[in-house]
Amino acid sequence: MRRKNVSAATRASLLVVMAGGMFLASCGSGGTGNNIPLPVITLSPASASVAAGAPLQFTATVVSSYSTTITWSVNNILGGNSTLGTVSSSGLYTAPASVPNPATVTVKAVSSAETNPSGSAIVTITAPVVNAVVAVAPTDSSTPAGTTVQFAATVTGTANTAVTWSVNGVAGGNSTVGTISAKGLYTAPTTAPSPPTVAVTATSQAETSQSASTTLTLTTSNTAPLYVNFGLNGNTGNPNTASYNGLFTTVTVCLPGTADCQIIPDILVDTGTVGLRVLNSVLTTAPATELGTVRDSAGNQVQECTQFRDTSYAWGPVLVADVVIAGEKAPSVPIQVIGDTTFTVPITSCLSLGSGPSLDTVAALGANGILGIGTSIQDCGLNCAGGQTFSGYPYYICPNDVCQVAPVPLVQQVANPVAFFATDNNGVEIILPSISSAGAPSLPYTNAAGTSLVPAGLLVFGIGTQSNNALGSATVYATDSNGNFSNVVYDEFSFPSGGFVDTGLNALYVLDPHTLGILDCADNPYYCPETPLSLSLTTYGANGASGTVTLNIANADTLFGTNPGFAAFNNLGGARGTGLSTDYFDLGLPFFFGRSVFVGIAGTTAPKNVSAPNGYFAF
Amino acid sequence: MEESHGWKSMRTFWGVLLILVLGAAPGWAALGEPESSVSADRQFLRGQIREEVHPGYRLHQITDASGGVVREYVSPAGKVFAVSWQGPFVPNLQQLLGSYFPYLQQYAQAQTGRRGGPLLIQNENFVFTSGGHMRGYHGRAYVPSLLPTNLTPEVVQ
Repeated sequence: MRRKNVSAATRASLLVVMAGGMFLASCGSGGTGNNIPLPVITLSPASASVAAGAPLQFTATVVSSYSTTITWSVNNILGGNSTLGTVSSSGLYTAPASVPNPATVTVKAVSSAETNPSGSAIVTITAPVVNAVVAVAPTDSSTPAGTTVQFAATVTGTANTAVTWSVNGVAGGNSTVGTISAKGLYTAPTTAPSPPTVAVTATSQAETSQSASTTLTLTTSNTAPLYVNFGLNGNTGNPNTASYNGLFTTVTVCLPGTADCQIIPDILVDTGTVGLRVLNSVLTTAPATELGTVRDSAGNQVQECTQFRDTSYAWGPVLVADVVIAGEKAPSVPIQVIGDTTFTVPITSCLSLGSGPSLDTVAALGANGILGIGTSIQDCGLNCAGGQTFSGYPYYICPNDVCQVAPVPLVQQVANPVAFFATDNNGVEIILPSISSAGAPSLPYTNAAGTSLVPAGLLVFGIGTQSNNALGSATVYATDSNGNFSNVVYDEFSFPSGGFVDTGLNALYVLDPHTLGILDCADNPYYCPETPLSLSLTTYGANGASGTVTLNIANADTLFGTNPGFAAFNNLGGARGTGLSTDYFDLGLPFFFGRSVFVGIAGTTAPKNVSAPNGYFAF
Repeated sequence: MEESHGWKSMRTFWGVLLILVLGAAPGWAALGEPESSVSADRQFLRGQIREEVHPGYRLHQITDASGGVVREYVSPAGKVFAVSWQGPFVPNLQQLLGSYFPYLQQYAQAQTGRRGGPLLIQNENFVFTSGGHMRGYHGRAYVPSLLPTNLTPEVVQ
């Protein structure tokens, strides 16, 4: 039998078997030598199932003495259509994107020979079955520029577990965003790109529609990534309990002077408090029992009852650790370990100050700890170091298991780790990217295909100490003795000491519904104006500097309702009206999106010859 | 870490303070209490008191050495109808809110998890706000039913 391929098919296999000598010979043997046999066409496969959108190659075998051309149809429609699927001149059937009704079609090959012999095959289109599931690790991590990170992809559901790696959608990456090998070894560029967050994607080679992405933020020695999300309690789905606009980073805690360290992610970044506070329950490789102790001259360990503005509180000992963030290290700095129950919380003082919940568990705090990087060196300062105590005083000792307030010298107070770095220790710069007025799921954010990237923010240590933390044209606002702007003016109303900026505050709390007349939301503590508002404030520093700040406040119900999974909003405002003359403009995280905000530590030399003995904000 | 010095001489001092605190306990309440309770607060807060007479109310302002200020608003009927505070510490709210403290406790304890904002309570019996940041707290509370009829809550500063 002689075979001749009469098709120009690129992918192969339309075969026409010309009835050659063997067929003729057999005919001849039957004595009917003058009859030319009619072509016969068979299709292979004769029947098949194919997933919607998937290809299927047919082979038509023509037994004929004539040269013949073949035309292909689906349900007798030449070439098929988008509903039934298409078939090429080479017999390549492509199933429709969705399953047709009925789900069975007939693919037919018709010969051009006389009598138009044909062959057909039955095709059943099925819903696409995705088998491959891809996961990538580590997720949402960071690494210093110039270093390498080994990524691993796990592919399940298919025998072929090979993946193709890409960075920001470029297979193998490139010199700007970093390269990644076939085995997943990512090599960061020597200089962090802008933005410094890249998306690393693994795509299943077995099913190229299946991939997984994660983000990697490239840091320099004085930068740490900033993540915005709901925190460790996740999205509760309830605006009354969800922690929108939570700002987090990773901190390393070491036993003093040793390499015994623990990397602790999901630490809340809070410019509204001072000092590192870590939950006892998360300290494992750097356990509280092995951290340095802080004691008075009689050997009593110093305890603290930390107050928070919502009347929640944190109780636990002051201990000493080396605190490492990015490439900066604060050696032997006092921190608070929350939830250490060596001494029970003093009910008559700490509990009645903190009438709200004790933030002593991950569930209560929604984080592993709090990194306080506000405007002062110590959390309390001279008020706690002298002979006097005050209502609300935070420091205690507990001789004979009875806790009582006690003075604590400055060097023993819980302190801002930044102030104890060897360099870059005069403050911080907070950089958050711009986000849509509709919000963002989280920062950084990437979809599975590695697109729609919203980069992480950056916590930059030092102000004017390196090329990446220059103050530029920012206005320096010296804070007053309360840590606030010296004055805020809105619509001819003047609010002395009436505001501050604070990354630990989750919304723009402009507490003056009487003046502003903004509608409260019915069922949550945010504002729900009928149309988005734009408030223009003039902020004043204690140094006389002034500037204009525009605050945008959208309808929170609309924000949450449109994108129920979103955690980051640049226009979330609060709060519930109380009828009180609540004259404050507390600028929480929404204020920080799309800005660089500097927080300078008291006692450092402020830039631009500004006198700022209480510290400063600059933006 | 450096040890604190002079501790032994401080011990007597703290012992005395503790007795003062415990001894003052029955008279702690301020909000909703007679004007005379203000002096108990002053004793507890150990601050300087200043009295002001305003149209429709009297104001007692207690300032302590930390710079913390507590204001207590007294109606013509002689009842403390509002309190406010501003300073480096949140004052002892059980002391300041007296019989209204359970309203705060009930509401604040019902919060599950840290939300990241100030605390605001508004119901027909008790209105409360607490905000600010470390070293700079502020808050206010008043009892609507005790508010003199010719006053609005905006007098509470």
